[in-house]
Amino acid sequence: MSNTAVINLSSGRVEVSPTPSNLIRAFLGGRGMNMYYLRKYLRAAGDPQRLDPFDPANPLIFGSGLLTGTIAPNAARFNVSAKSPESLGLGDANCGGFFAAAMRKNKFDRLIILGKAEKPSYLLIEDGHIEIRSAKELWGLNSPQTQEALKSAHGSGTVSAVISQAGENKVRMASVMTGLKNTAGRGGMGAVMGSKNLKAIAARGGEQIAVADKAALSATRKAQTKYLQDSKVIQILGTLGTPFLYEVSNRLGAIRTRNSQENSFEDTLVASEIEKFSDKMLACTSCVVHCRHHNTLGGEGPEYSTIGLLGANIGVAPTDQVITLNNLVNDLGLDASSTGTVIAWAMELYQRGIIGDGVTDGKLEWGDYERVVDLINDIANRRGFGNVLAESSQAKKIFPPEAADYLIAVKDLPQSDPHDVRYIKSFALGIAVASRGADHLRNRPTLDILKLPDDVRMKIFGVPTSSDPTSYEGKAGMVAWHDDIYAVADSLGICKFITHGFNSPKLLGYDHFVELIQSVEGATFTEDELRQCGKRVIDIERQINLEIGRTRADDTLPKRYFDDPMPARATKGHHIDREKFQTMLDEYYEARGWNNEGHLSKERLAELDAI
Amino acid sequence: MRIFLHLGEPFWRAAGKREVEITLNDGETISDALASLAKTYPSLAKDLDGKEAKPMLFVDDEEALPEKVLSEGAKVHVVWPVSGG
Repeated sequence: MSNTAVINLSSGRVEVSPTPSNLIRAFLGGRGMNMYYLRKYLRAAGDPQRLDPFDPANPLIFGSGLLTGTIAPNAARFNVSAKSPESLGLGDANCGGFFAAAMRKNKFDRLIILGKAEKPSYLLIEDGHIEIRSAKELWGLNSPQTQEALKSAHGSGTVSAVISQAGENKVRMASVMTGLKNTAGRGGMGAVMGSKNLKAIAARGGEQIAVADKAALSATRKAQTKYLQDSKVIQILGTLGTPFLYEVSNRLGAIRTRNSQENSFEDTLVASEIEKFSDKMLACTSCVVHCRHHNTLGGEGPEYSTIGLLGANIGVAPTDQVITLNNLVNDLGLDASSTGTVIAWAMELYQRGIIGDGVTDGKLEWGDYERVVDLINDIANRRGFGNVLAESSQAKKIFPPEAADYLIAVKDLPQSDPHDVRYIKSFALGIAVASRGADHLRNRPTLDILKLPDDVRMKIFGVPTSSDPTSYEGKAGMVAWHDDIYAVADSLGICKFITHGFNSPKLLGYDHFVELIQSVEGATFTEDELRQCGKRVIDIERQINLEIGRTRADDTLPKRYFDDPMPARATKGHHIDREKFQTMLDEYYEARGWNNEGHLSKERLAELDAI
Repeated sequence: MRIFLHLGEPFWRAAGKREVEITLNDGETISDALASLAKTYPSLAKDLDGKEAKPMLFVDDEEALPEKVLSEGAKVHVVWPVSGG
């Protein structure tokens, strides 16, 4: 049995109750159950649309996946959810590492944090109990320092999720960190944590997570591990990590460069160059991939997203400089994707004369590494122009009105990954409709690039789709299919890198998930029931966004993706056609069972309300 | 005719170099070039067989199909198709 704890930092009260079995049946756990509680507490706070994300009533929810912490392959993940101070919409960030397993060993699968501590505090989870402690000595420390201090105080086995200076200063793209690089990065969850005066959650002790059938789980893990490790993609990720993706995007002409004014960059950031700075590959709990570099410059990573967004996107080419920027944003607790996107946005505004030296505190030019280092430090500490960029996309309220045209964001969330989506139309639809904003990890149909045969695509997606990545035909159904399976993976706590549809059709699908749930929980789900859980997650997220005030008009793309053709390489000339995009959006709503405005039916809403 | 194969990840590792020069007859295609490559470096054959994913192919800056007939001096890029993050 696992528990949900509701912790009110204002009153100091901690209430613990068993996680309801009907919620497990409906949402599994992780992201799905977080969304159930996020909707519940946002509505309880009054008007979800008007609620300031820094209001103590904004719930901050840490939820582990249903399989997290067990030996199920790559079951390390947890989600952190709240109303986002960055997008002012649905906020949700997914993270790996070892923290969620430590939570679960203490019999907590979910922490719902309400209120605001009077003084800097942290939560200590130890042997099944939760205590609120003073963080006076931790405030002001960066992420690695905070985690080390907690280990010194509570023992080397202590695992923690922390904020750094950025979170303390309520930087709107502040992340929650665990380990050197594992990051719940998206949407400013670290800033919400900072607004609650909550510096860290530390977990230690506890006991082995009980599973229904240990022998069956062991056998399933063994078989699934073999299946996964036969995949070439898994093998490559295990040796090169995600930097492997840079070369493909760059060769295609789809690497976001200088704020997407260009679409190709230097070869200094390919995996074989990154590899020169790597001394070993690391893994999260129960991982069979080992995709994370430990770098020789004092950190972990970088990932493809960081290479692209703190490299090509801001014009920084030297490999060591990009890795140093990666380490810096991780130490300071900043989301690399948003940081790289927002700095690139400011650089283009400066290039075009929309903002000048008086605003930027001096020159702000592409590839100026020293300036970027200073700026990142200033963002985290809200100093000078850094204080403006600390507002992330909300800085558009500070800049001249035309500045918004150059921001690469959807629903005010800067795009997560470095892939320029003007070429592959399903990718464009995916980031337009993703519930938390411009993000590839909600629904990216990565298989679209494989140009699979018709019969294979039909078998996977169950609807007719075009094999041409540049076609708009059938892409809505493809995105909807990925919506569902990624929501299920996030709710189980499974990493995308082993999830069917993410980079390869030879990874774990619903059939494999059914086996894992059976052996861990002793609960029988059919494959269709699992997919229905995914659909439920997507629907409740849609409803949260509607209640926050989002409309069909928010399911769109950055202006540049419509209006500016890609300038070079194989993607030259491609852009998103506005009319065809709207047709694709109509088809997507239909595939999801929503009306033409993207609303759930009354019957469906009643079903969700009844849970 | 001389053809220059530029090998991306993970293909170049089997060859030990990024660029491999091969000789083809007039009228031969990218498929022929890849077959020649696999003959020289047998460990590449499995990665090139397309069972998990067919390599993405580019001739200079244009995406190309395996059937494309090559011309003297063509530079063919071979990369693994991947686009997650």
